[in-house]
Amino acid sequence: MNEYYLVTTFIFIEVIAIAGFVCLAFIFFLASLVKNRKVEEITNNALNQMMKQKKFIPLPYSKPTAIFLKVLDIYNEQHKKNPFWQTCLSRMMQEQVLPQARKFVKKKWYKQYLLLKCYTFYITPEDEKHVIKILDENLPVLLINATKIITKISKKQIYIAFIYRLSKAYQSLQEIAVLQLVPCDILQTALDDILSKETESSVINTCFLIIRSASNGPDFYNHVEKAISKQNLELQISAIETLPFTNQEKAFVQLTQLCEISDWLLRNATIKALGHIKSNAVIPYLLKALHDDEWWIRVNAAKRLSLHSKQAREQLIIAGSANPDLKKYADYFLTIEGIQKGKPHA
Amino acid sequence: MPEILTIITHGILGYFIISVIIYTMILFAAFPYIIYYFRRGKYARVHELLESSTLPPVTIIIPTYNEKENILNAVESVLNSNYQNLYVFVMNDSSTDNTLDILDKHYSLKEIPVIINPKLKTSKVNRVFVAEKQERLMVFDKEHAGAGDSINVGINACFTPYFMTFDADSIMDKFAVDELVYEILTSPNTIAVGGGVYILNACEVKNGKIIQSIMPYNLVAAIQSCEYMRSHIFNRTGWNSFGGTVSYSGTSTLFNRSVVIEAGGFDTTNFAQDAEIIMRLHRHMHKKKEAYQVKFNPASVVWTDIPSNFVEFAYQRDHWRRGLLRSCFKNMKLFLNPKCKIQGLWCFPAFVFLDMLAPPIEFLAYLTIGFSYYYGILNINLTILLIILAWGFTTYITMANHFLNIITFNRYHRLQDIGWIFVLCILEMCGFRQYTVLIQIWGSIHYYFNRLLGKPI
Repeated sequence: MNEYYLVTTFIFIEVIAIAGFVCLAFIFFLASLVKNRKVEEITNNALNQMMKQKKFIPLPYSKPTAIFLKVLDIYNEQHKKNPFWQTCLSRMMQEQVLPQARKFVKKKWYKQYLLLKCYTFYITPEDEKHVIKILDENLPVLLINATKIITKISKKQIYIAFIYRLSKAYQSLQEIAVLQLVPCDILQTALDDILSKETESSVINTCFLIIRSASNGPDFYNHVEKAISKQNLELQISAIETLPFTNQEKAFVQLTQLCEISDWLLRNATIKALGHIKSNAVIPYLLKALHDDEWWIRVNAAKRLSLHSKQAREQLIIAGSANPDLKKYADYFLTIEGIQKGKPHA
Repeated sequence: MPEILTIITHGILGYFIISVIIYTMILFAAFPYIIYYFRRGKYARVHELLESSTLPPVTIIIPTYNEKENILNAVESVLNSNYQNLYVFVMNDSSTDNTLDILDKHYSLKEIPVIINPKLKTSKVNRVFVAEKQERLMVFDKEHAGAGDSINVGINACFTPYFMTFDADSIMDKFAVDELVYEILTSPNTIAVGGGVYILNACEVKNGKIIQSIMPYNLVAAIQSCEYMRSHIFNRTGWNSFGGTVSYSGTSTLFNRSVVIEAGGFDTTNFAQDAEIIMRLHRHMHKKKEAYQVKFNPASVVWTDIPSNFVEFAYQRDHWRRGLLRSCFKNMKLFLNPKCKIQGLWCFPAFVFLDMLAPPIEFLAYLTIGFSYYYGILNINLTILLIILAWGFTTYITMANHFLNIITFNRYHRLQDIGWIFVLCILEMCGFRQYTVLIQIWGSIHYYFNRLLGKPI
């Protein structure tokens, strides 16, 4: 009898707990819905008043982060071309939101995101270390938005701290983040500083990635060339792919020597890199690579030829007409290239 | 004999009590996440977090076999997606109907040479087409080898860091990909994100868009709809707080491509390749000793067609059961493995306990009640408690889920549909649940028999 009593008590407690939970959930949800609507309404009214009177009025609410983000987005969408709104927004962020948002450095991601939004409007030297701290979260959305602010701050020490943190992120995220960087002398100096001292391959790889996408770096040729001789395949590949983004003339000479290297992965990187050199002098090397023993190298050579220049494409068609296998690659990349440009390859 | 039956009955009772406790924990754990996902989408959409040009590109892989009636709606729904940085790969698994012709007629397919880097071993790709009318669409015509193989071909061919699996009999919500990418961007080291699945059967669809979402009134489809809402939305959201579920739906999951390749791609001989890959990813990441997350976002929605008669339903569940058994046995190294942390010590054992063991134990309960009655030792009190725990609580928790659903992600806005959902919670226990248990038992026997014959599944 005792066990029935226990099980029945268990069932009773479960029923009450779940029913209570659902009721509390309803009450919580409805209460927060009413509160949020009220805050939204008051905020919206204040913004409308401000726009009507053409005078900056501090908002009655800016504490609930989520609502603030929503209001900002709606207003930005409606008034993004209005200079008065932009001035008000800037003041609002600087005077109202930022003092509160500074406490968000170690909070949830959307609070940190709001802090970064504030920094796009106004940032003090004291705030700069917060941006670096946020990078430690390793969150794509924060990393990418923080990169824009780092570009805005544009200080050597900040760039260096950023590059070290970026090197810990995964490859695809690094690629997206570096797209936000704008080439400038200070970034070049920061890269030069790191490459002169650093031996850790992940950091050097990140520097090379930045050179490839956000730097005009003839000065880096020596650093990159040095990395090719290191006994680290990943680093060697990255260095070869970076060569054309340094000094193209020197890179061309170096790459033509690497065309015959025995390791096919390095040879493949060389062919890909040659495709980035603008001179038509690379065409004979790419044409030769169409007959390489490795399938990947043949395919990449065809791809690079199809993307290089009109003359290279003509050469690719001629090479394809003499060899059915080559014709397959040539047709493939020329078709893709044609579709991308809206002119299908015949 | 009576003593044995009493011991078995007590064991079954214990099993159901533990199940009820776990399901209650999942319900409680799901709610904060449900609220978070519900509010988050309203406050900042993915396109506001990042500029469109910096959003990661995604490839949608659609394995297709004889889907001439659905394929256009499926592809159109993907192309109508709010997320613009995406590519669509339709993998035609040698359909014997005119699926390929329909795609050709609609999108003007142009054949290009087959150049695919075979990172994963797959069957042969016969032809590849690009769509002249839609530059984001490619069609692959390959040898027939099942959905897992088709997805693997898509993974080999795709060049984006993320890909999403999507069924040809499904319709994608406009913001489905946005929501999945949102999760990738806002959670560190996320390697897979699952999305919610709703039932398409009775919905009004035009050009890949849901015009009106309607609950099916066909009993088989309607009860499944109820089941999907319970397991595909609340259960999986609840598992987010325990380190991620070990099973996702194949029609709505976004994956990190490089991790899936490292883990060996999808299992080509499994009917539940979608569930198996998640288990394998957990195992793979623990083996690599790298931080990772497998997440679920109920705000991402895909609508899918489900069987609407008992025969088709039995066929599908038999396949799922065999697939589930194969997946669990294949990844048994996760089970109570302290090296696999919470996934090994809690998520996978709980999954095995709730999903793998539930049908045989419930079947055993029915047998025990029958034998006890035969021997004249049926304890009415104990039987009532068993029924309350097994059927009553499932109904109760499903109803609790629906109450929470009404205030959050509810997709059915007609009053009769909402009422119908609550009726279905009760109807599910009146024969349908027992029928499902029988099919699952049959599926298990089918699996073990086939294994004895040396077949993989």
